[in-house]
Amino acid sequence: MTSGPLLELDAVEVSYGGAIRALSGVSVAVPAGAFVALIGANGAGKTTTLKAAANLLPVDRGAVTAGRISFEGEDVTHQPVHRLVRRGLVLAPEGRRCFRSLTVEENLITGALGRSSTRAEQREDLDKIYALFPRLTEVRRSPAGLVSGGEQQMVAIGRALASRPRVLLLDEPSMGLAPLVVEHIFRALKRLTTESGLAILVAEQNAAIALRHADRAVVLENGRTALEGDAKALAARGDVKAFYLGRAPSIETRVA
Amino acid sequence: MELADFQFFVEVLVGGLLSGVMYSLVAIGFVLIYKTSGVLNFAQGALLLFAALTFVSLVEKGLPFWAAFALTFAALTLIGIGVERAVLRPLVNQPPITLFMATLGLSYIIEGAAQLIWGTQVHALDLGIDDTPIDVAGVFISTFDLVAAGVAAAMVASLLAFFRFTRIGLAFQAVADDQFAAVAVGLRLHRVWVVVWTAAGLVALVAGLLWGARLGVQFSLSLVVLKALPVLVLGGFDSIAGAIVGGLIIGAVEKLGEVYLGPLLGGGIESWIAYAVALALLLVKPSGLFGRPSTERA
Ligand SMILES: Nc1ncnc2c1ncn2[C@@H]1O[C@H](COP(=O)(O)OP(=O)(O)OP(=O)(O)O)[C@@H](O)[C@H]1O
Ligand SMILES: [Mg+2]
Repeated sequence: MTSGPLLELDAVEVSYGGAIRALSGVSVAVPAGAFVALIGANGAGKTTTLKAAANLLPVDRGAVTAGRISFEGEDVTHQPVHRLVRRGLVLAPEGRRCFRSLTVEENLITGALGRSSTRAEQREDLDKIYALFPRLTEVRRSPAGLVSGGEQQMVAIGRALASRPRVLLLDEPSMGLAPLVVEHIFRALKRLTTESGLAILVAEQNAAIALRHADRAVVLENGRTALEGDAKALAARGDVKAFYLGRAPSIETRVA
Repeated sequence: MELADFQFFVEVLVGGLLSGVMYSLVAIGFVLIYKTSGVLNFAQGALLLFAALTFVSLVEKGLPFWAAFALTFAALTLIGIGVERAVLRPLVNQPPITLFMATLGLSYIIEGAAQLIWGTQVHALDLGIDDTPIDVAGVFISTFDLVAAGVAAAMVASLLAFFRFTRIGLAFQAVADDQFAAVAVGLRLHRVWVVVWTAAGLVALVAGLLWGARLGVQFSLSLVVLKALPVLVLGGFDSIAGAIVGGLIIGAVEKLGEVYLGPLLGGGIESWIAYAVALALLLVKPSGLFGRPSTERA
C-alpha cells in the first residue's frame, strides 16, 4: 500500500482525565514484519503508548491530545477499536486479562469473533495457535482462570493472533513469569515475525530479553521517545546498559 | 412424622419450589444485565410491568395470543435498542452508581409510558391454564404453578443454551468476564448490550405474563422485583446458576416459613423471611452462594 511503516506514532501526546499528562512526544515506527521493543522504567508511558495505538484510552478517560497515529498511512487516531482489530491492529493487554470463566479454546475463539470467519477458518487459526504454543493443546478445555501464568500469557497472545493481525501490540508478556517461560514466548514471537510477516511492538520492563530478540527498539523516558534504533546497537550503548541492562535490582527483581 | 404430615410437608415444599422458579426468572433478568454492565438494572420491574400491560391490552383489543406476544416482544426490543443508544452509550465508562441512577430514572419513564399508553386500571390476565390441583401420590400440586414453573424452566434453559452455544453468547461471556479485554480483542460492546437488554426484555415478558396471570396486571406488579432482590443476594448478582438456586431456596423458605413458623410468630412472615435469610447469608458470604470470586461457569 504505502512504502512507510505499517504503524506509526508521530509526536503523540496523551493526557488522562484532561489533566494528567502521560505522554508528551512519543514517536514509534513499526514496519511490516518488524519486531520492535518498547522499553522504559515504570511509569515511562509504555502501556499508554500501546493503548493510544489501539484507541483504548477512552476506557481510562484518556485521550490523544496531539500528534498522529497512522496505520497503513491512514490516520486512525479515532477509529473504533473493532475496526482497528479487523484491519489488523490488536492489543494483548498488560496483565494478560484472559476471560477467566471461558475455556482456553473459547478464549482463543473470542479473538476471531470480530471477523465473520467460517468454522474451517476458525479451526485453521486454532491449529496454528496450538502449533505455536503446544502447551495450550493440553489445557484447551480448562477454564482460563485456572491455568498457569505462562499458559495465560500464551492464551492472551493466541487470542490476539486469532484476529489475524498484521501488527500485534503486546504489553509486558514477561510480567511475573519464570525466565524459561519468557524465553519460550519470545522465541515463538520471533518466529512469527520471520515466518509469517507479523509485526510486533512489545512493551517490556525486562529490557534484556526484549533487546535480545527485537530488531529495533524505542526507549521511553518520562513520556517521551528518548532513543530509537537498532536493538543490538542500543543494547551495546553505555547509557542503555547502565540504566536498563545494568544490574539494577529494581529492574531485575520486579514482580507483577 | 406421619404419612399425612409428610405429604403435607412435601406439598408445601413443592409449592414453594414452583413459585421459586418464577422468582428465578425475574432474578435472571437482573443477572444478564449485571454481568455485562456491572449495574443493577432497577428498571427490570418496570419492563416486566410494561410487558404484561402491553400484552394484556393487545389481547383485550382482540389480538390472538401469539400476535400480542410478538408485538410486545418487538416493543421490548425497541426499548432495548433505545436504552443502549440513549443511556448506556453516552454513560459508558461512568461509575456504576451513575448507571444505577440512570436505570432508576428509566424505570419511572417506562412505567409512566405504560400508564400513558394503556391507562391505570387493573386487568385480569387469563393464559388459559386451568388451576385445578392434581394429585401426585397423595400430594396436591397446583396445575398453574406446575405449568408456570415448566415455562420458566424452559425459558431459562433456552437462555443458557443461547449464551453457551452461539457466537453472541460467547461474546456475552467475554464481556461479562472482562469488559476491557473484550473491547481490546475487537468485540462490540454495543451489540452485546442490545442483545442483553433484549434478552432481559424477553425474560420480563415471560415473567410478566406468569406473574400477571397470578396477581392480575396492575402497577404493583413491578414490585415483584422486590422478591428478586433476596434471590440475587443469595445467589450472587452475577450468576445465572445462583439466580436459579437462589430462587428455589427463597421460594421454599417462604412457603415453609409461612406454614410452620407463621403460627408461632404471627402472620405476615412471607413478606420478610426471604430478606432475613438473604441478610444472614450476606453476613457469612458477601458475594452470595455463586457470586465472584470464582471461576465456575454461570
Ligand atoms: N488510568 C490512568 N489515569 C491517570 N493516570 C494514568 C493512568 N494510567 C497511567 N497513568 C499515568 O501515566 C503515566 C504512564 O503510565 P503507563 O502505565 O503508561 O506506564 P508504563 O511505562 O506502562 O509503566 P509500567 O512499567 O509500570 O507498566 C504514569 O505517570 C501513570 O501514573
Ligand atoms: Mg505498563
